Amino acid sequence: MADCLEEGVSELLKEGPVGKTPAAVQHLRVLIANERQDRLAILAAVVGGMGHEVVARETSVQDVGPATARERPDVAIVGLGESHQHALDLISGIVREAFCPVIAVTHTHDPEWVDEVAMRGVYAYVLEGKPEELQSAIEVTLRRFADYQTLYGAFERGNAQTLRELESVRVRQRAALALHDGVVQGLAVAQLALQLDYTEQSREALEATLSQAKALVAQAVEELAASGISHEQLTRDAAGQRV
Amino acid sequence: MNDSAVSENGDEIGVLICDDVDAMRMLLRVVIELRPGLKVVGEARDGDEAIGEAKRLQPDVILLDLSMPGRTGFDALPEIRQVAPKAKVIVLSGFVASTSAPAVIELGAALFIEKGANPEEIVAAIEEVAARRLPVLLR
Repeated sequence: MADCLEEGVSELLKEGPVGKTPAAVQHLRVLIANERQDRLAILAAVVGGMGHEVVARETSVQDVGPATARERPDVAIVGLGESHQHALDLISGIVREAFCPVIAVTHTHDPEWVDEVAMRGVYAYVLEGKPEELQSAIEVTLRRFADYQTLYGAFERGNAQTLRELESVRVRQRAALALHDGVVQGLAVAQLALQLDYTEQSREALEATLSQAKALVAQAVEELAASGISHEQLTRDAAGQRV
Repeated sequence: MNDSAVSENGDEIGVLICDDVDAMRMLLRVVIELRPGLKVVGEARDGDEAIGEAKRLQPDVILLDLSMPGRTGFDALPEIRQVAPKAKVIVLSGFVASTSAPAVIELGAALFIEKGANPEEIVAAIEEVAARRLPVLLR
């Protein structure tokens, strides 16, 4: 099997990476791990052959977690060996410690076992077979992962933009609150002064408050006009709530 | 209402006015000093000054605005209660009581009055709070 794999790898490397990986596919930083050096070499050849970058190779799969913390790859591809229980034990720790999604390379297609692996948080699994099969499987998986990352990135960017807009609204609301509070304070002074027959103070307070109220209206008009509402409509809106 | 109000210990009721609006402090001073038995012992323009003056003057009643630059009345109230534990704090604010009063009462204010109250209501509140006839009341 190993000879067969090595031959296949050689063929793959002769073919070169570019032709099989469309330029549109995102370049990924990949950590690979397998306790067998020969399998690790195959994995490296396949991943590198697809145009992705192998940022770390681990022969001890227990070191995958710390390695992902250190290298921060986009994804880790981890060979799980042939023992089912040993693989399950490994995968729990790897997924728990890893700083990136984990794709498992397994020898088995036992649905129950695959369920167990999935429940432990593995992003995807790939059946280890001939190099060209492995390449196809990894290529599809990495392509789906790249799509996911692109979508997730778009979502994150959209989310960040929404947060920025919310923050901007909050800043404007707080500025408006200060203006509104100023109006209330001014009217309270004017009223108290009037009750005390301090007509001059009352007049001064009213004038200052009128200026603040005008500033409030001007600010609202400016913001609404910037959002595309016509001046005519704003004039109608302003008169609409009057009592 | 009494003709001449007194504090718990029978003296004139000393009031500290805390408000960042100069005209409001001046008018409140007029309102208070026109009332026999009340006297203004000090003024403060922000939360820090309010704490310092409350500690230094130990007034009977503190009229505290909430919306002040720097340290607000909300920020200052707990510390005022610590440095002047015998002072009764009346929050006099432009905010409406329904939204702000529960929070300031929770922080130890004796009373919440919305700005816009007339002079009689203000001095009555000071006298009643000072005499402990009105420990907690929302208006």
